[in-house]
Amino acid sequence: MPVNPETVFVGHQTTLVIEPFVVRLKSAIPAVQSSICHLYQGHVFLSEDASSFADFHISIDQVGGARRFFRPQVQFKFDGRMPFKPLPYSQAFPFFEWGLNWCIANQNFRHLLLHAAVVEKDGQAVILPGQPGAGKSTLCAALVGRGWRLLSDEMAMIDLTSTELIPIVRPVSLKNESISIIKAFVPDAVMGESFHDTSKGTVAHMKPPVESVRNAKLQTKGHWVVFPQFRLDSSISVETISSAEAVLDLAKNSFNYNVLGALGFEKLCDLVEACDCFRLEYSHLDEAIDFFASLAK
Amino acid sequence: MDELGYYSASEEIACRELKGEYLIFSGFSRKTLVVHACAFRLIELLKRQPYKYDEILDALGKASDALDNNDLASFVSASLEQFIELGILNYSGE
Repeated sequence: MPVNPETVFVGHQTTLVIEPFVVRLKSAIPAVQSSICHLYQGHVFLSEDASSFADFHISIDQVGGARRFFRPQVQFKFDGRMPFKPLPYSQAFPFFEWGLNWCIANQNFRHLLLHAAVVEKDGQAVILPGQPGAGKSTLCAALVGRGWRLLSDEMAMIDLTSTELIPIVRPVSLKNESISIIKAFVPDAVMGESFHDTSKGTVAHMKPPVESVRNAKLQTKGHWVVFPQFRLDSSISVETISSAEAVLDLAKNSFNYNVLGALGFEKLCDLVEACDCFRLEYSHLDEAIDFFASLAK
Repeated sequence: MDELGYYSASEEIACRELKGEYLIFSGFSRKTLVVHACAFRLIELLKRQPYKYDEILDALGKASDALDNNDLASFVSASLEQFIELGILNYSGE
């Protein structure tokens, strides 16, 4: 069912459940409200009063003063503080997404957090770690378009007791050429607006599948760690890597491994011990998808 | 190598054998290292209790896959020095 900004944003405020978090967002900016309603359509919006518990209290507001008329800007506030410099008004929605990433990565010490996409099929999850430009979000969107369940395109969140992967199902953030590649590769993907001239170039978001949102409480075990690297015009290559190498690389891709200390080390080792680990270099999505299909067999 | 004092492991050291490879995490330096099996056994030994240099050589020499005596002594000396530098091991002289 379509979600209407007028019903969801009461007094410019809404409370959005992005399992396992509750996010309270205040914004009077129509583009933020419409993108939230469009891309988080399958999520739960709470209609409770503003004093109820939320993990993150976020506001996206237009910067006041003369800035309202000359190159208008928006500011991101978390718990009333401004952790970032303002951005152009046109980037208000991606600012929310980036800011929420920051909130989760910097305020959550209950889980081990890796900079990685996570998808799952038949109860077996693939962790796709990677720095920006490695092609993890593109691969993640392509896999989701071929029936894999989305857990996250940005953050692998690991339970410190069970070592299971906890979904944080949100829109998949795509950049530049990846946007048209995924539109062609997954023709029925629901895409949001494209935001141009951001610090990352052009950015657009793919709406998460309803099924992934519905299963957002379903944790799963990691079975594979695949470090992807997109390389134009390369033929696909897959290299098995040792567990120790995977631990070292995952530690570099973690938001809070060092903060967690020995516990983070133990849990990362537990995770990797249960996984087969690879490096994947790819150029064509079809070939990469075939590789993942062969893993899942 | 000083043969009088005791070598011991720092408090926040975690060790893990992972599919035939050996990893160590130092809470002091926040470094994760992949180490040789013999270095791993050295740290595990010193995690249990402090040992003198000769006692370390004795204990490690008994392992079935130990290096020969000369190699073991130079390996242990170099490892002790490096691990002390990294804050993984401590030395207290007598």
